[in-house]
Amino acid sequence: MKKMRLKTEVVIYSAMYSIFMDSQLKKGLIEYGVLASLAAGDSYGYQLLKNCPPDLGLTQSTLYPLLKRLELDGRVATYAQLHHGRTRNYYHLTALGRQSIRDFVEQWDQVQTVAGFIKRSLENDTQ
Amino acid sequence: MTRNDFLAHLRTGLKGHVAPSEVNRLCAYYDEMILDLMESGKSEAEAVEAMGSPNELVYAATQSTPTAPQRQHHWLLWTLVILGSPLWGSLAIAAGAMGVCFEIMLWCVPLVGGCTAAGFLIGGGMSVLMSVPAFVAVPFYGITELGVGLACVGGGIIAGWLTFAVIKYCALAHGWAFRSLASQFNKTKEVFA
Repeated sequence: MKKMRLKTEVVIYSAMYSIFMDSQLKKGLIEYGVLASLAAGDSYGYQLLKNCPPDLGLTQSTLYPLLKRLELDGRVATYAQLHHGRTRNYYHLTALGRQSIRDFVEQWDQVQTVAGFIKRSLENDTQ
Repeated sequence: MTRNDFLAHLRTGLKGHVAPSEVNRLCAYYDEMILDLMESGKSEAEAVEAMGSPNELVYAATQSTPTAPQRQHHWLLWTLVILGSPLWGSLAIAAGAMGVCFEIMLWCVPLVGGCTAAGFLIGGGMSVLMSVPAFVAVPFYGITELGVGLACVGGGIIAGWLTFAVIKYCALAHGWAFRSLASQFNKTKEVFA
């Protein structure tokens, strides 16, 4: 009975993973990936693309709405600066943005606990 | 595609789909990206290519920015609409009449073909039937009428077959016309199509 319940839970968590890793979780990871890139210092669009881990699959077209959302949330602030005779937009991580990274890291511990539970279920699985 | 061509395509595609201020921001964003890529050593063509298709970017922008330009239906707009109704109303009626004319012209061909086929078949059939009493009265008239009747039936069959073939093309033209009209109200991903 216990084994069956465990299997059911594994199926549910696997389904959740397949659904959310590709959309919601990845979306969240991209967001915090960009915020983390800005934690080191102010940056501009192209550099952010280069600095973010390639596994996140960040592109020019996905970066723009993300930066806009972060700006609207108040987690990122923008300012323009002249660079080689042209204007370049720089992004700055605000205090709110820095706090949201801390919150994410704290929540990540809970995610890891769930991930550990799923991992153990496979280790215990004899079939 | 050059940087200017790319930006012109992007701007044209974005207009009407996102707010004007957003159009400027997006164009500036992609322009900055292209210039940064060029600065990193890529050629103009390579940098533009790295941005992807302007159509795809427009589609992505419209999906991610739900701030489509809101039309303000205030009293001035409605007043202008009512005052301008003699102009736009007559133009709309003319456009509708043109559409009706197109449909009539389109379906006239199979209608004429169908009538011709029916006429030949009915006339030919009657001629074949009437050839029997005609043959009894005057054999020469009967044979002639039978020949003419059979020729009419043959002509009717050919006319009917041609009409059937034409109907297919008329239906295609009708579908094309309606799809073209409908596409004006339902713009999809292919904004430059």
